[in-house]
Amino acid sequence: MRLPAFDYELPGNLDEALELLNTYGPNGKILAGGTDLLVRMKQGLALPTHLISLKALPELATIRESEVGLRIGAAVRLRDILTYPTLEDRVPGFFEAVSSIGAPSIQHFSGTIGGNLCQDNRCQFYNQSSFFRKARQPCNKAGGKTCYAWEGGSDKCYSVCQSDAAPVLMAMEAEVVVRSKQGERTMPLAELYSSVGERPLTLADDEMLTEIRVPNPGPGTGTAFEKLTYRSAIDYAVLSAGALVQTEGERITRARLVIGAVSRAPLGIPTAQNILQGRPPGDEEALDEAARAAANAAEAFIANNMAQPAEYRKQMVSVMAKRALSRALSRTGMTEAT
Amino acid sequence: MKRLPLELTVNGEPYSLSVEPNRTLLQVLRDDLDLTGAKEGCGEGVCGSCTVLKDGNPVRACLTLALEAAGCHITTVEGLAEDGVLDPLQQSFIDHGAVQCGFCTSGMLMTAKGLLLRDPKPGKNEILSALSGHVCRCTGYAKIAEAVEAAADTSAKER
Repeated sequence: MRLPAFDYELPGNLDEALELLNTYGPNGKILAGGTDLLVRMKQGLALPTHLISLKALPELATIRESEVGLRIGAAVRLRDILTYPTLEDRVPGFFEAVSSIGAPSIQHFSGTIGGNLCQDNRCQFYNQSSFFRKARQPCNKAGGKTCYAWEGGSDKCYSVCQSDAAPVLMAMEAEVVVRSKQGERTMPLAELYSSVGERPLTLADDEMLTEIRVPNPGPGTGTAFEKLTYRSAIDYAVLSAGALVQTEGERITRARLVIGAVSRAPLGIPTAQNILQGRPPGDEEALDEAARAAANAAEAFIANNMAQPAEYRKQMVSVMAKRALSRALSRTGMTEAT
Repeated sequence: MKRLPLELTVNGEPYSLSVEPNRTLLQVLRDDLDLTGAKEGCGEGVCGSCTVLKDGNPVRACLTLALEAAGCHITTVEGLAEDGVLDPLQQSFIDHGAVQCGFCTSGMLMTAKGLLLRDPKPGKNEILSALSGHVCRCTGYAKIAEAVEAAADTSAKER
C-alpha cells in the first residue's frame, strides 16, 4: 500500500516543531512512531500535507523523575517505559497497560506513549480501505451525516477510544503537558479527550502533547489494568479497565475505575469511589457492586463499532472492572516498600 | 513533494539515496536496492512479514518512512548470512522445517535475530512473546519457535 504525497519536516528542537505546527495548522501532523498515523494515511483517512518528525527531538524522548512522580516525554518509546528501572514495581498497572499495546517485539521499538494516548478513535466502519468505504455514503467521522455503528443511524459518531495506556493513567490521575507556539498548559489526562467521535482530542491544530506526568501512587495504593482481546498480541482492546485502589487501616479510602474501549473517551466511573469508600478490602460484595455500576454506566455507549458483538462487550464490562479492582486491591500492600 | 537526501547503511553497505518522503523503508529496500527478502503482507503493521532490524531492533518496514531510517543501520534477511555461510538461525529454520510457504519467514527470522541479539539465551516464553507479532498463515508456529530455541542453544554453546 502506498502513502499519499506529503512533505517531510525534521525540526531540530521543540520550538522549531511548534513553529511548523503553527504554520501548517490542520494540514500538519506530528510523526512519532507512525504505527497509527501511517496506517490511516495509507487508508486515506488522514491526508496531511506536512509530516513533522520527532526523530531529532531527544528532549521529548526522556523519562525524568520529579518529587511527585515520573515525567515521561511524549515521544518515549513503549519499550523504554517497560525497561525503566523499578517502574514495574512502582506502577504495575501502567506497566501492564504498556505491555499490552500492539506486539512486544515490534510496536514497542517504534510506538510511543504520546502516540498511544493521542491515537485516533476507531470503528469497524471507518478504519477500512477507501475501496471498502466507497461502497456507501461517508459516515459522520468521514465527513458524512450518519453512523453505521448505531442501529438506525445517528447524528453522533460512535467511534471508540482504544488507547490502552489511557484508562489506567486516568485512574492514577495522571496529567499531560500540552505545548503550542503560544505557550504551555497542564491538565488532567481526562481533559485531553473531548468525547466527540469525529475529533476525539481537545488539542488545537497547533498544539502537541509533550509530557505525561504519572504521580507516585503513594503508600497503601495498588494499580491494575485488564484488557480483553481475542489474541494476545496486535489486537486492539475489545474492552479494558484501569483501576487504582488505596487502603488505610482496614478500609478502602480511594478507588478510581476507568473503562476503556467502550466509548468515545475513556469512561470514568465516579460511583466506584462512593461504593468502595470505607468498605473493608475483603468485601467481595462491594467489588461486585462497583463492577455493576461500571456496567450500567458503560451500557449506553457500547455500539456495533467492533467486530465483536456489542452484547458480549456489555456483559464483559463488569468482569473486566472487577478483575482490575481486585488486582489493584491485592497490590495495596506492595507499594509501601518503595 | 520534495525529494530529500537519505544516507543509511543496509547490511553493512553505506547508501546515499534521494527519496520522496512518502516512500516507506520497505519500498526503498525492495524497489531501489533490490533487497526483496522483506515482504509486504498487510501493509498495516499487523502481519510482520516486512520486519527488518533498525539498529538491531525489529521494526515494521512498511510503517517506517525511509527518511526516518536516516543514519541507521538496517539489517534485512539478506544480511544474515556471512560469506555464504548461513546464520545459525537460518540453518536451524531449515533443520526444523520451520519454513512452509516462506512468506513470513524473513520477518520471523529478523525478529528472532533481534531477540537473540538482546538476549542470547531466551526462554520459551520470551521466544513466543517476541514472535507474537507475526502471522504465519500456514500456522507453522510450533516449528518456528522450536527452531529459534535450538538456534539459541547452538549459539550459546559456541560462546
